[in-house]
Amino acid sequence: MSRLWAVGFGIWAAAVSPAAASGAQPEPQDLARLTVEELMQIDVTSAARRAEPVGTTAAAMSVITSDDIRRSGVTTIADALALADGVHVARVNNGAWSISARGFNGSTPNKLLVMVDGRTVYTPLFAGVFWNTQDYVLEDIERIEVIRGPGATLWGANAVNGVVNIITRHTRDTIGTYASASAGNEDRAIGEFRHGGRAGSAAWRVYGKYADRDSQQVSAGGGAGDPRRRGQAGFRVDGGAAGATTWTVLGNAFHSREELFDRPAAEFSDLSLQGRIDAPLANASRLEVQSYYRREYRRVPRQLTHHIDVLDLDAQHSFAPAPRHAVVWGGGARMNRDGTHGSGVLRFTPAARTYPVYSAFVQDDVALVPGRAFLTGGVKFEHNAFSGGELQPNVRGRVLLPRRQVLWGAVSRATRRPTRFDDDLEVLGPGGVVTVRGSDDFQSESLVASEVGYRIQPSAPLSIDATVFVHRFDDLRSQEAPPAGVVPIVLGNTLKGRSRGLELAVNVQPAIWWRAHVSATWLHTAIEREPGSRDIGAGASEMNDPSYLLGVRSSFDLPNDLELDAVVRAVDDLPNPAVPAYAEMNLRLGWRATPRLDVWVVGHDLLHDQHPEFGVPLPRRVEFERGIRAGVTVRIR
Amino acid sequence: MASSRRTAHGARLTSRLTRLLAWIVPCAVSLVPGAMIAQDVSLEYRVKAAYLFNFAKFVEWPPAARRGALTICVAGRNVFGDALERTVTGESVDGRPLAVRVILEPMDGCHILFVPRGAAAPAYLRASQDAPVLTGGEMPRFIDEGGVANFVLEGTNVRFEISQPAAERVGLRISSRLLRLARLPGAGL
Repeated sequence: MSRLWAVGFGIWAAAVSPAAASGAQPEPQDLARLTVEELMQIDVTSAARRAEPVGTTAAAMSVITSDDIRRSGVTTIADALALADGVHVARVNNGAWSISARGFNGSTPNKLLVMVDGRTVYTPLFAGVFWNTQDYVLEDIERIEVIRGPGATLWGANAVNGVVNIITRHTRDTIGTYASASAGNEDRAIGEFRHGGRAGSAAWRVYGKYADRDSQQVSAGGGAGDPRRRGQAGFRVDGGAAGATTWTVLGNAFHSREELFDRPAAEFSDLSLQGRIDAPLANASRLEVQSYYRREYRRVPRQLTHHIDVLDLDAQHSFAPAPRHAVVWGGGARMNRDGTHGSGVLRFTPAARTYPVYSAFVQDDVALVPGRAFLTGGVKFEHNAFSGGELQPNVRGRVLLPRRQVLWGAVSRATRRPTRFDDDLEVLGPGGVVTVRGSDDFQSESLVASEVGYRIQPSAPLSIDATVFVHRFDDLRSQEAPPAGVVPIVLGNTLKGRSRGLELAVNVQPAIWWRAHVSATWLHTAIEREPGSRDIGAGASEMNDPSYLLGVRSSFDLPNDLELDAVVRAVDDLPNPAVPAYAEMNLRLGWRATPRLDVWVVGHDLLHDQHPEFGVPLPRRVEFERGIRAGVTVRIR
Repeated sequence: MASSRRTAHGARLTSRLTRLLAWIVPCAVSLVPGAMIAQDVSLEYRVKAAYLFNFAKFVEWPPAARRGALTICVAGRNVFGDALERTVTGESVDGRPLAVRVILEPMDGCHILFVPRGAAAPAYLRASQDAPVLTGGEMPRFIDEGGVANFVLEGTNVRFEISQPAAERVGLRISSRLLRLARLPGAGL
């Protein structure tokens, strides 16, 4: 592997030498195939990387648009992720999801970096996402970008198997009033409200939503006792003149109350406050500074109560040191402070802890042949309080060929840094005996990923995107047996793993009124012990992956302003705990009665009375029921 | 569910997919157009060209104007270089091919008429005020002068305003999907 790195950096070093300099900016991709919504988002004032259409990036990426979300009929951000290519979304119960890309989707999946408006939302407690607290007025999510594979250099730790960027709309796009109300047998009631306006050169919005979901069923019959009620409110203000310094301030507050089986109701809260300044500087360079505060609070009776305060500051500067170079560099500091109250089942020792993370990165994008061939090299250094410093480099290349073809490849290293879970967890058995505990010696899990991708977007209404990847993991979390006796088992790093696969996505538009998207992913994951390992878990809690994922979306724009959408997904069986393969379908019929009023009906999970997606069959695995929901949406500007 | 049934289910899905791909891949190859031509038109006008093509898809012309090629005219000077032609080449809307014409004075036969900055907008608008023409501009007050659509720069993005009354006056029916994305005339930041 180290030889591979040497080759990669050799190429990059050659590319950044002065001989490669001088020339034009990258030429943008043909725009004819973009929708009006996509055209509205293109930054026409620069040829910076953000302005690049998805089609030319050197990464496996899919974008879920606001329209995709609306027309699919989903009601949560977590379920919307199932619309992205190659993402395995498994519902565990009404308030829990296991979500991963490229495998290693266990009971505590921890290898995705998830951000909302640039704010990291995975919990520092175990590096996974509490998906039940991620919510928004779905109409005001502009898009969700899902990058499969590592993106650690630009985005940071935990961008191991993928990066999810949830981006809400700019306030100038949400002027006016939006209100939506729906009712159904599973999603009993969902109400959303937003109002936006202008004040001088600034624009603002405030929003609120409430949702009430009915309990699901268990395999053996009977209710799962997992009804869920959630509410969220927030605001966003954007200001500053076009071409000058712009700023954004936003805040969100979430609360939910969730039950499960006979457990007393659990409570979850999430608060965030964020500010960002984006300043254009001389010579087309640019400085972005952002800071946010986030607090998560979680009280799960008979399990764990905790709160975490996160304070984060980031800055990045982009500039062109030479005609063919586009450099981004920056750094950040994050402080986490938590407090936990354990139970008879588990606890953290110490119960409270404060731990910082510091990082710095630099990346250069070089136009080897302007408009045709590009090479990107970058590295991120990160220091955490648990295992010290980590280096996360990557090299990416892309070639734009005639006939709108793109060939790209990348080699990258990424790490999943230790968390409180790995370091300080204590699982308790009868009589308060510690049966499993974390370890101060826990190291970062590391990945070296190799990817090759190909896209073709012919002028006909068709595009095809294919990616092949091999991920090699080292130092994966293991459960080490004690030298003598049976307890305590100690968390260690003696597993190595591999995942490889093929991801394919096809967009077709057979007619102006009919669009379809087909995606297929084949996946193989494996874990084995390193020499000297005393692991007893064999990685069973680290991965439980299907060998294929299939998705088909079909959108019809019918006469009389009717919309008909079908979303079908099929997931292969999961090995351990075993879950049967299934296919499911959502249908939505919408009528744009007037530009101000939509009326719609959604049927979800239509193919089975109830079906499971994750978890141990006995005694109680939650299964998801077929449902129907109808609603109205009003937009007044 | 028996595991053999599961496997059979998976195999069935896989073989269906194989058949689908066997159909799609040859299509992809046969539909590939001529080589990409390098060109110097700014991204702004390439985006506007793509918008004009999209407008053609979301506007319904009266029956009398539905014969022959759907013609996009550019008034005065061709600000698009070859970008507009390349955008519409080989495309069709409701079975009608698209054509691009640069016109040096008002004339009939345009379905969409784009009036760039600096062209004599009032003259072009006057000439098409009773014809089923989607007039498009890129200057303040274009809508006030009677235009149907107008591009505005919002921050770093190109957006558009649409006047529904102006469209109705000349017999154009604009899809609510497009109207919903349009800015209120005069409201651009």
